[in-house]
Amino acid sequence: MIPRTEIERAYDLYSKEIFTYILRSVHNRDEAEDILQDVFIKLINYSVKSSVHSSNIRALLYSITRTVCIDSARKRSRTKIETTDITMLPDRSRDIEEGTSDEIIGIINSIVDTLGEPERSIILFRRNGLTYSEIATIMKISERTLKRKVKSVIEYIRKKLREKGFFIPDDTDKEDGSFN
Amino acid sequence: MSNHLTGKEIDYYVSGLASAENAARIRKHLDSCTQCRKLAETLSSVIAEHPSDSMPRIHVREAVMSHWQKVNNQIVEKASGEKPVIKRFTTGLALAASFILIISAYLFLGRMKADEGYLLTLHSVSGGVYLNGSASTDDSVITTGSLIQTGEKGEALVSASGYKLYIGSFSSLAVPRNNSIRGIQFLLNEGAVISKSSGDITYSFSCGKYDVSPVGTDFMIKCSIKKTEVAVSQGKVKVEAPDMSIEISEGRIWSSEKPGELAAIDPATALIINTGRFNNRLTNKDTDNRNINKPEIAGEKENSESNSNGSEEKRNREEIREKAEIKQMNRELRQERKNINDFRREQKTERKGRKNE
Repeated sequence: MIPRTEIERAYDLYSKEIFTYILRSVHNRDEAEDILQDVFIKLINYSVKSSVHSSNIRALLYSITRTVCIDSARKRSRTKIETTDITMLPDRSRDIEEGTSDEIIGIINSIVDTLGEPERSIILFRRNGLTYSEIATIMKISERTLKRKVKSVIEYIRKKLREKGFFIPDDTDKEDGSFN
Repeated sequence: MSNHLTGKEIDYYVSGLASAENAARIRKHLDSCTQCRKLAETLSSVIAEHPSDSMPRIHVREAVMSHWQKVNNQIVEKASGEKPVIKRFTTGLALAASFILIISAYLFLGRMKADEGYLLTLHSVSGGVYLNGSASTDDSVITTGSLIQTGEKGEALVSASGYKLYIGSFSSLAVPRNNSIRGIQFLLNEGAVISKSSGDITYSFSCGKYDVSPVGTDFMIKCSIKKTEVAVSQGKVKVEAPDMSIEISEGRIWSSEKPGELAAIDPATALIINTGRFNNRLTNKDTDNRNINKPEIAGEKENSESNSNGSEEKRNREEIREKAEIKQMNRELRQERKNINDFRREQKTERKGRKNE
């Protein structure tokens, strides 16, 4: 079982970032705290049967967090807390310079919330500052697969923004394949 | 060719999939193109680190540490083997207790089964003699709870090893207890009996409020609504009631009309006791009351023609009563089943509620 000093150290080191991840996932402070507690309890229970090294605690915590957050999202009939409704935004012919950064952030966040798994988790991991390598370890996929998934999200968001008239220096998607 | 990067170029560049060569070319373009740079920056911000100042409250840490403590305690207990020992001990104890209970129950039941009391048999001497409401066949076995009744000319003899009990006409005698340890208890509701004991059988009589217990003797008891008489021909008999107690010695007769006095037995009564024959004359003198007080079935029994009809009617009545009881039981069962189902439904709803939470 994980020693007390180790669990204390892990909590002091990672609880803040894990909490941030959870908060971005559930948008509710009380629920986020409940989930955070649940995550650390699961880590303790896991450590009873399997050895936990301090080097992999962070990845383990993120892995548990992701699972718990997905379970929690499945369980509740989630009412969307994000306020921005992209259908209500100004229509076309906006130039990149015209979009205020708050407005754009709002739109992007609302799009991220509508993403399915594992894309949403990937974005939240990235926003928590995890590297591709770390995310790939947590999600047990290759880095290249991970990047492809990120690319598909970026493309999706770009197209959504284009639908709303933002950032359209050139509308044509050239298919030269030279980037792959 | 456009002066801007394509969407695909930006997607690859932002997601890190672009080759080093293409990435360098794109970077070069972004340096000089504000629009493309802005787009690339905005899309990069989707996957860039977003700092946050949110902190969980302290109670979460406390809950986590308390859980660690709890789990740790469990592990320590398990390792030290205390709990398993206690568990094994309690399990063993429970098993032993169950074993003892089973053995006791077995022995108790065995004893119950073995202790069927004294073997009492009923013989019809004359006239109508009824056991539990049906015409008695000879040598019927009297068990606990039996009821013996005699009609107008009925006389019966209950016998056991070393014991004889003559029952006169218009008598009703119940046997509330027949137990080899506590003895036989007779309940003389009405009529007359002569008790003759020559063995070590334990028995006693209840007659109204009077308890008559022998001290190894022959005696006669007469019991009616008006009075109870006890005549003793041999040995001693004790008569007890809540307000009195008297011992009747040989050759004396006691009557509840004068509970403090004893008189000498007249020769006719002495003869009856000695022979055990009532001859239908001397049992009860107050025949007028008998019709009122005689047992319900006794009246029907006297008419020999209606004997079988009476029994049949009684059987019918019993059948009807049994059917009614079965009906009632079924009703109760149905109600119970309904209650159980309701309870299950409630539990299910509760579980669902908890799950949804």
